[in-house]
Amino acid sequence: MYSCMPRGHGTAGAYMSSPIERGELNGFHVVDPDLYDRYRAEVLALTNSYQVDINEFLPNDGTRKRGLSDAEIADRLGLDIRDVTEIRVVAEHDEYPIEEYEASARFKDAAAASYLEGGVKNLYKGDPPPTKR
Amino acid sequence: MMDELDWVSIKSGILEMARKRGAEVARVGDPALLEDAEPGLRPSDLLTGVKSMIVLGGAAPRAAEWQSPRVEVMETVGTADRMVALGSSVARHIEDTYGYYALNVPTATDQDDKAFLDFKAAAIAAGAGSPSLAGPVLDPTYGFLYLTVILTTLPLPVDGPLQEAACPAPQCVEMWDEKGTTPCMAVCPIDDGGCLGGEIQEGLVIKRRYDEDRCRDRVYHYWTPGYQAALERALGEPDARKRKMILYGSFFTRTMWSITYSGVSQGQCFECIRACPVGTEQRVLI
Amino acid sequence: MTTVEGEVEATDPRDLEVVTNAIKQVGITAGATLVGVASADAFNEYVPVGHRPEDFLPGAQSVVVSASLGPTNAAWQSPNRRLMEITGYDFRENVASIVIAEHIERTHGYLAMHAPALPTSGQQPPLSMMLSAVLAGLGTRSIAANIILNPTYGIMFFAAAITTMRLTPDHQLEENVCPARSCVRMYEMEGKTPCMAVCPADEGGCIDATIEDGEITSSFFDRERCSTRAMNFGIRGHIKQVDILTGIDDADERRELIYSDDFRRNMSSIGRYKESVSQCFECMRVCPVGRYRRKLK
Repeated sequence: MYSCMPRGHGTAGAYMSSPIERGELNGFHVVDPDLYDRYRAEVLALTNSYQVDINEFLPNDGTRKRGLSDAEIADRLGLDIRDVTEIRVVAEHDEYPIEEYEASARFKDAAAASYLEGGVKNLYKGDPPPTKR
Repeated sequence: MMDELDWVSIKSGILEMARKRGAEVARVGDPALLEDAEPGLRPSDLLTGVKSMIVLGGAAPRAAEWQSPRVEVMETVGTADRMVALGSSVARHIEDTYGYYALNVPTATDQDDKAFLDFKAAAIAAGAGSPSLAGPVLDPTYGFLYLTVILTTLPLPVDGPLQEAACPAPQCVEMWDEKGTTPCMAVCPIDDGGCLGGEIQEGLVIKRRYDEDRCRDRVYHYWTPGYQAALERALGEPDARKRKMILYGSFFTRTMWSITYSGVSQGQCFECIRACPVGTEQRVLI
Repeated sequence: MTTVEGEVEATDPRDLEVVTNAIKQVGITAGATLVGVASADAFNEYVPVGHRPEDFLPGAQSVVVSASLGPTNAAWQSPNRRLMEITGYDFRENVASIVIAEHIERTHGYLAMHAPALPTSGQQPPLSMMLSAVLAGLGTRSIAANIILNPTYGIMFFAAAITTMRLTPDHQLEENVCPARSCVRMYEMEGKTPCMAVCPADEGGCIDATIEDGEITSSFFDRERCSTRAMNFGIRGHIKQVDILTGIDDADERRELIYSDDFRRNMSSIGRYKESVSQCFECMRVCPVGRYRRKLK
């Protein structure tokens, strides 16, 4: 489900990238909502939104992965780089609704209270985790 | 007793203190030279009995930042706020040490987005730089610097305006003679989507054209003006999905980051000065 | 700024370490707790073109990384977790980084800049401060939100200066700080480490991993969910509220949102930038690395 780029994938050599190549061009560009809906999940899966196996101690044999740049995603999906940037940024905001912010505040209350009450041991008593309280 | 004070030494001490704390340029100007400004924006409107304007310049971007091909660098690593801290420190020092009133003029704008004081005029009056076609006051040695102004009732001997203007630089005069433009006008031509235009005659700028609104939208690219523009566009968009694309999009998000971290986001366009030869000797590093 | 007069002589390699250490000391004096150096080209293995030191400063040779501590030990102990979230980050390492860059330019005559880390494209920082810290030997990436843990201090905050000056690089730590021995034991008994137990990805949290023979063999981190916690109030919340406001026709409903405490807190975070990030420490609260330093009188 979360397919970040495997190590060993051919990347550009160490040359000076042009503004067009590096992606993430700034400025005001609005992506078409239909294009966004169509590519949202695919783009997000290739970025750093869900970070899978990026630890530097993981072996460099395809196990260690990284997120792709907007330029790489555009190249892979055949999209305009400006659209990729907008799809990514909108999706980053869009992945969780505002209700998640409320749930996050309650999670933090529960986690801090749990630690204050009984330290780390409190997490292993069999109670639901603070994320579910 | 006051007449016996050595104003020259006092001035020297204050300016040296400012230099040690980071000012590249430290000069004193006569506030009377700015009294023909719009009422409410004159030195005497800010400090009754004002006798001196201390103008400090410094906190310019590092040489490496000018060299970077990535505009995000200059847009997000500014240290202009240091001049505010320095100005406050100097003002405090004057009041604590000499018992005279001193205030650091705010760098933020007052109502109607007007500056409390014309910093450029203050710098020119004090000789902390000279006017340029591109807009910023330029010091002949350092070029572009961020400014702060301290108004005080301390009667310091004034430095005057510089005798020679830094702009146009000899290289720019040469370019004007050959091509009818200068580096700053060539990079941002007012007749081609830019902000600057003008004429040079016998080594002097005799005419200047400047699109202030366009320039502001570049200098404050991802700041309040950008926020306002994107919000206006979103509010006028009847399609809820398209509104989301605008508000969640990279431009609006970026304006929020810049507003939040405004201390480092003060200047977001430097292209006319990047091309300017004044002060570039300071940036020639390895 | 003044130029360095005359020719800048190439530094004798025997003196390079002395010069490097002197530069590090400049950072310490300016407020950093630790300073390390990474080779600029070490980044190339880990990040794509566009996010490497040489993309920001052509000819970059070194990246000098400053690290500072976050909340004070008392803040960690406070029963009010919101206190630590608002005071968590004082950006001292950024001051140290700027001072280092200016020192290199003024004293050694090489180009040096404070590396841009402020996100300029959504959540994407131009240069990764976390990777900079790993490559400079200041810590290793952990299971807990991929936070970089220093073996002594635990969680730290990082800033970097990129320079064309060749300095003696530090190297990545040879041993992963995470998982700690106690975490390995917990994982063997319970199937989760403390950070996974407090914020499990499969139960509404952000973190998951597998450990075999005391080493991380896989890891998962939901950055977007984490950012609803670490940036609970601020930019993202404000954007969502503005989006909601533009869709509300009822004036009373709009008013209720505009005058809500959430709206006010979002604006407060925007107005006081130090409040706007680092608003969740729950995985770090239960992390044993560096925790024992936090016990004072």
